[in-house]
Amino acid sequence: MKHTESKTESEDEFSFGAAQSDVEVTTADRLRDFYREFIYKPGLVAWEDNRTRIGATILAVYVFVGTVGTWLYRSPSTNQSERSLQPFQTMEAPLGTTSSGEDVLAMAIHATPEMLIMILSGGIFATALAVLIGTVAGYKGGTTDRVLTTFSDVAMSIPGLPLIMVLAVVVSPERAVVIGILITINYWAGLARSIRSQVLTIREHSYVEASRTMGVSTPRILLKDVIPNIMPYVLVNFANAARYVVFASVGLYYLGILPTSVANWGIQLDNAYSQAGALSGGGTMYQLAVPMIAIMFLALGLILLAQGMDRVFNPRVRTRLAGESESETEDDEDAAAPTEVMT
Amino acid sequence: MTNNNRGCASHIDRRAFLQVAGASSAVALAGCTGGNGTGDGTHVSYTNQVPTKIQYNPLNPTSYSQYSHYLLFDRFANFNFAKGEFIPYLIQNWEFGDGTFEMTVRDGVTWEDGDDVTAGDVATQLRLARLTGGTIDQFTDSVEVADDRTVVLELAGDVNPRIVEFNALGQRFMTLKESEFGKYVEMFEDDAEKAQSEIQSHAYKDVTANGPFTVAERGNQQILLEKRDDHPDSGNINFDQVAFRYLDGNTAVHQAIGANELDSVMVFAPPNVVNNFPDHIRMETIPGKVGYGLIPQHDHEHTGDRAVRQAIAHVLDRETIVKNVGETLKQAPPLPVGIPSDDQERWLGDAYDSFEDYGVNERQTDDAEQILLDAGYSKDGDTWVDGSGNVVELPITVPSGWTDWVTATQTIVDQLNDFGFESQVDSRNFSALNGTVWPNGDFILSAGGWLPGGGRASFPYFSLHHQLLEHYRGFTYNYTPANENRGGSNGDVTVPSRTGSGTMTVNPNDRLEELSETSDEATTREISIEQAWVTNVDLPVIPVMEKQEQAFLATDEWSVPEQGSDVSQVRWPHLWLIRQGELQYDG
Repeated sequence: MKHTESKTESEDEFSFGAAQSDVEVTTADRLRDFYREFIYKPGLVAWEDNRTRIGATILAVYVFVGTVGTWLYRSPSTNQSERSLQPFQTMEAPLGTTSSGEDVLAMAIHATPEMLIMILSGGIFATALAVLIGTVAGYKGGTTDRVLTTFSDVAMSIPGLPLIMVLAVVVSPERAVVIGILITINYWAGLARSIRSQVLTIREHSYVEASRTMGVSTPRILLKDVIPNIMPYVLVNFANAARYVVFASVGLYYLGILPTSVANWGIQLDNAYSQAGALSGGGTMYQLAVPMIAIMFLALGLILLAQGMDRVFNPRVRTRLAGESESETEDDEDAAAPTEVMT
Repeated sequence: MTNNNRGCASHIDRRAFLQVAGASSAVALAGCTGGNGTGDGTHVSYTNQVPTKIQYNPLNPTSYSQYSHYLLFDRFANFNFAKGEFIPYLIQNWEFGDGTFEMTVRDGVTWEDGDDVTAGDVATQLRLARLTGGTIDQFTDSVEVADDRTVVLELAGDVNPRIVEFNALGQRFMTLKESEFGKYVEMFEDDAEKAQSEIQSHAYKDVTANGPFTVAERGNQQILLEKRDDHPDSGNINFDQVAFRYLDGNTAVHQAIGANELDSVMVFAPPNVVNNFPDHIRMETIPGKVGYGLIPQHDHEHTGDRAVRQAIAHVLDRETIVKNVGETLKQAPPLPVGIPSDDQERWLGDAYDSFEDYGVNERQTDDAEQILLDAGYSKDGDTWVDGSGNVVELPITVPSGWTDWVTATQTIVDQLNDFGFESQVDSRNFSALNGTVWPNGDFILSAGGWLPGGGRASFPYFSLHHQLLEHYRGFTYNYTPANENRGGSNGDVTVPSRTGSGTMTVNPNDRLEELSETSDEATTREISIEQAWVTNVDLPVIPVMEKQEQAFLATDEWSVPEQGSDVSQVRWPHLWLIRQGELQYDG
């Protein structure tokens, strides 16, 4: 690791700096600054992009359906309506019913909250773990880096789907939170590696160097200097992880590997295919279409959001919109960091 | 339709077909340009096994043939589900003597190498079944060859003739020719373990057939059988070939039927799919003698209580459950009892009306309520609680991949919840259930079969044994009369008397043993009714629906019997009809 700080200086500097900031900067100020810098401005930039707007709107609709919608619309249960009703025949079941008289729309709506919880838990788990491992490895370097990188390499080299299948059978998870985590059990590894390379460049920036020189603790540097800079990138990847959770969970439910006790669009697909003969010309294609549309739009919303967030990366756009200059204008774009840590 | 004029180019990959079937299919394909009309078409059926892997040794379960052996080998006898009895076939006649069971082999049946099928061949088949631990061993001392056409089983003690019939004749094909497989019988005398492992791992592929067909070609896409002219029933068959096409999965089969590519097939198809099949496709159903039931955990405080089990049976509307799953696939048993649906009237006779049906097509919530109240349960708001105030929770475990069972379970859960029990679907991977959950008795209610399956399930001894003593899957359900390996102690059970007041205490294990040893028809019936009554009142297992096997027969170029004919009630209808001359080419 590269150390350039002088010990005496750093001790003085640190206490001195702390004394100054106590008077001038309150927690509220800090929060406000943080909000402006890391939420408002990126948000503003992102919102400028139509893709983000559409994506966010779609997700908002899903959240609405998954929260309020489940209160407004009846729960699915067998024989609540006539069997095998085609869609648009009756207001009682606008999208038709299954062969056991379950309202298809009700099934789709009531699968939404579980799906969102799954997405959140999987996305948060994967990105949080990736950020933690990626930033620590990239910043600390040395043995820590080697150990953590090896760990993520190992996780990356385990084939994901078979691992999830085995775990799903062994654990038989019924809670959406657990299922989300299970699905992203080794998804974080690739993300951790790319975050590490981002951090390798950031750690060489002058302000990080300055913090180090002042003797600021590593966790503090990571939290205040490093992570905020990779936040947009992390958000993009959160959206991607969420999309992965959607597809993987639906696939696993469809294969009958996950317990059917939790409502899910994948189960709907499976039933449409194997029970209703949707692909055998049984006239039950609508039972396949409804969950498919639900899955497609959710994935679309997440993709658009992720793409829109990409713009936040662009410092020029951010500067123009926020009406002020960035402190890191002359930074090189070429962030090809060395993989081996300097000594 | 035959291959002759079914627009082959659009439905059959010609190259694949030719690769597979070589010259013989070239003949069949030649018909594509204009039917030959001589009645030598190819009948196309289906299998879901990879044709190159199919083997015909019944003692080796790996890749054992699914359908084609029904035409390659003669069955000892065929159980007709409509008549409830065996129709003689390779064994033309059988008789019980004093401690013996004598079988006479049909005359004129030959192997394709020209040898006659003899009593020695039949004896080899039976001896190997005994030596490898088949049920026949339980009541047989030895298998003797009396003469070229007579085989005699020396019985060990008293045994019910029907049990001998079902075990000796049922589902048994003349496969293992003495000259080829006799060596294994001798090997058992020297080194039983080695012989057992050798015979059970032997993949019998290059077969010597004795049925009306023999294997002509086999490839990745199909197995093609060719008619043998020297079988006694060959004259009934007016076409030369039967092809079993390989199709993977029910949907692929449904699509092939829709595209007019199959002439006969056994496959599950839900009602809306059946309705969508071409008009000339006729559906025949035969009882599966297996079906979805609920296995209660008898040492649980609630499901161990007869009142709760009876309440559950009253609350379930079996007809609705069947309709939800698909009427073409299932039927609702008229009585929840340890006898298959179609055999209940035959066996219960005049006693039938005294049995409780628990409401076949209605939810008898009032009856259920009364039973629970009498047993000390009460309602706390909308929920049933026991005397201690504990909610009656009834989660139902079910294998997650079995979609028809999951659908049934969902309906049951809704019906139970609606009544005031607290129930939910607890679906898990089948291997997890089969490997640990069921053997450990780690369930309150579980989806499970209420019948043992196969022709023999028609005889109450087997179906009652399955419910009262030993479920064929490893459910540890802790029912007192059950065998030890199912958590029971072969104990007594006390139930209200079937006729009049009072109670009766019986020991199912002793009574079924008696049933297995008696030759007296009246005693057989009496014990069957008595033990069926126990299953009806005490509900060791709660029957819900019974599986229907579906056969689909094309009628455009084939003449087949009237729908519902008795002759079709043999497993598997399409292949039995071919032998009987009831399925003929008339294109």
